[in-house]
Amino acid sequence: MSDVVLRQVRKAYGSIETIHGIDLAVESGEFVVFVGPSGCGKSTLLRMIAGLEDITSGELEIAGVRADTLPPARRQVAMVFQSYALYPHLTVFENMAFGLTLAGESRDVIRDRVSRAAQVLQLSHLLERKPKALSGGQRQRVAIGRAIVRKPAVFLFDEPLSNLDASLRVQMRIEIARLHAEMQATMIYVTHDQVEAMTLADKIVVLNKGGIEQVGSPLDLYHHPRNLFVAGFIGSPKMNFLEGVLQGTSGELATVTLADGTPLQLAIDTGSTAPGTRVTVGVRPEHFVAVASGGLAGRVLVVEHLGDATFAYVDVPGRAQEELLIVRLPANSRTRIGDTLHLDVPVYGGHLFDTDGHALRRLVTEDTDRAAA
Amino acid sequence: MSNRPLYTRALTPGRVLAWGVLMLVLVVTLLPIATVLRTALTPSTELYAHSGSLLAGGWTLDNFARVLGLLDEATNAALGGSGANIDVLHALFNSALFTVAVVIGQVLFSAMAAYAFARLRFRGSQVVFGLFVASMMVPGIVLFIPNFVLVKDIGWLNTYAGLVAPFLLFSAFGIFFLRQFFLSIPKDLEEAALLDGASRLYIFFRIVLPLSKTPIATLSILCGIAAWNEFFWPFLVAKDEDMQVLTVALQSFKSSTPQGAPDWTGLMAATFLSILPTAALLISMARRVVESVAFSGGK
Ligand SMILES: Nc1ncnc2c1ncn2[C@@H]1O[C@H](COP(=O)(O)OP(=O)(O)O)[C@@H](O)[C@H]1O
Ligand SMILES: [Mg+2]
Repeated sequence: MSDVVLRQVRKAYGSIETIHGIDLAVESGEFVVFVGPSGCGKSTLLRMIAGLEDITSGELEIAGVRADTLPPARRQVAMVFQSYALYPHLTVFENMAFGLTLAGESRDVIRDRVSRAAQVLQLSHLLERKPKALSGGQRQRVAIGRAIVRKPAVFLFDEPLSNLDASLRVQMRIEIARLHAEMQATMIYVTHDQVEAMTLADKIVVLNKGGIEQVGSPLDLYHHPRNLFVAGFIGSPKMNFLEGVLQGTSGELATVTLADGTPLQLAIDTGSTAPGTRVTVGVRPEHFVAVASGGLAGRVLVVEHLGDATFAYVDVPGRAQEELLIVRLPANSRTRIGDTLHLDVPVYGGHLFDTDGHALRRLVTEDTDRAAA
Repeated sequence: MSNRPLYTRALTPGRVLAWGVLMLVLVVTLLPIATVLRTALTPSTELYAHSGSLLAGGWTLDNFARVLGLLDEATNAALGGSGANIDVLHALFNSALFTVAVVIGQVLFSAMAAYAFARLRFRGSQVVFGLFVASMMVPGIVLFIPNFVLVKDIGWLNTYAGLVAPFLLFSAFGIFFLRQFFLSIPKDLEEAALLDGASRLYIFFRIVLPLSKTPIATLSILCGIAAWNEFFWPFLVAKDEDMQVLTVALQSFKSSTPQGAPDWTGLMAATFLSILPTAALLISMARRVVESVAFSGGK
């Protein structure tokens, strides 16, 4: 069953439309992440589901009930805010009990549910404290606890980790993933951080400029981005883009020449794209292979040793964007600044995008991807 | 205090000047009060004996006893009283009642209006708010005549209702002041409460007001002092002896005594009594306000 269904949902502020007709179904128990650059409408969409923003047009269903006309409190959703939004004058216990008290639950039920949630979130010893006497991570857990005690049909998170420092963010991310696994609850999570999206999501919704670019599992988006935007947004470090011209197709292999004349053969179904068409070649950093000679040649300008891998930033001709080419090399690579690297791309390693930025279909499976990586 | 400023405490010319100015302000503020106290403590008969001195010639508490109605009429007159029976305690009670009613009414209703202007969207809210702010420019005295006519027509002269009516419902300053603060309360808090099932009114009383203790205390002090010192309106509508507030009651000391001169010592004793509650309020609350301001700035 779908817990949340959006049909042609739009949002306009005055005459300016910021959300352009979203269709989406969130299945029961699913962890869905809305990801996209800042200002793309993630929060607006989430707040429309919560009922904090009106839906200009379209329909919303939550837990099988038409919800866009219901007040926020009756939509069976609980929300965790980026700012935590804890009531500063109330204790942790009172913060978590606030909604239950309003719902008219009995004292025993309230004490029971709050203490159980506090136990799960390791807050039991902090129940009498005020929020200002808590650390960032603890405040975050109280905010989550406040959502849990209400037993909502859907949890909504709006960038809940962005106020935490890096190490705490990783820790809380794991904690949220664990909570989801334990509770089997439906969760919708907003972030601009694609690493958070990749690590947490069952299903990622990539948003851009108020519309959906692609919906899919993390690996689906990673291996089969539908367009240049998703290809560039998902994955870290980013996918590299090179200008090229489609030469032709024989069997399963398409031949492309790069700006410097280097020919590449890629396992891609070019469909009706005619030879001679300008295309963009996308290659993830880990798909380049350093070869002794030939291939795409360029000078190394920066080398980063991360321990488990080495990244080289290479100046090659015909880059589709300003940024240098990023190449992942083995950890023990001896490549130095100033060296010339010769790079080849295996047939399963490349992506092709037509002039409009739409991806051409890759003829690869997850197995061949794994082999290529 | 733990968060001591980092700048040095050296005796720079600027600091000396600042201290000098502060001392001057202090003297200018305290001198009249000292004079009130000195006169209040002076026996009426010796009032003119040492008029050049800052300290009283002899001193007595008779004047206080007299204005508080603790002495019988013969003694009263002998000590220089007007003979008119002024019930200072009752006037104090009236003043207190007037002040408390005005403070509660003004703060509560200003807060509600301010919250509406800060958070609710309704047609014309900007215009209405603009009118409220503009009304601060209208001198209060201009409103006294129409208000007086209205209160008289309703038949509220010499009633508590008539006394508080023009002040109770709102103060444009209060609305302006609290709205600014309400705008600074994070919207997230109220949205979280909305999702928790709270109504607007519940949010206002259980979230917004508790978070606004400091500005509400500040506004209460300002309203309270203004109300306590209010003279002209009570003088217009509540002249009957049992309706007089302290400021009005003090007037009767100025009328001549049987001896022919105003009862200065009585006036000053009563005046000093009337200052006490405001002074106590300021001293006790000022500390709290300063602390809470320092706290919110230092976190
Ligand atoms: N109250 C508003 N009035 C007008 N435009 C708004 C309002 N709130 C948000 N927007 C616009 O809607 C777009 C999406 O905003 P938002 O959902 O907050 O983005 P995100 O959360 O993805 O960073 C932005 O371009 C923003 O300027
Ligand atoms: Mg946002």
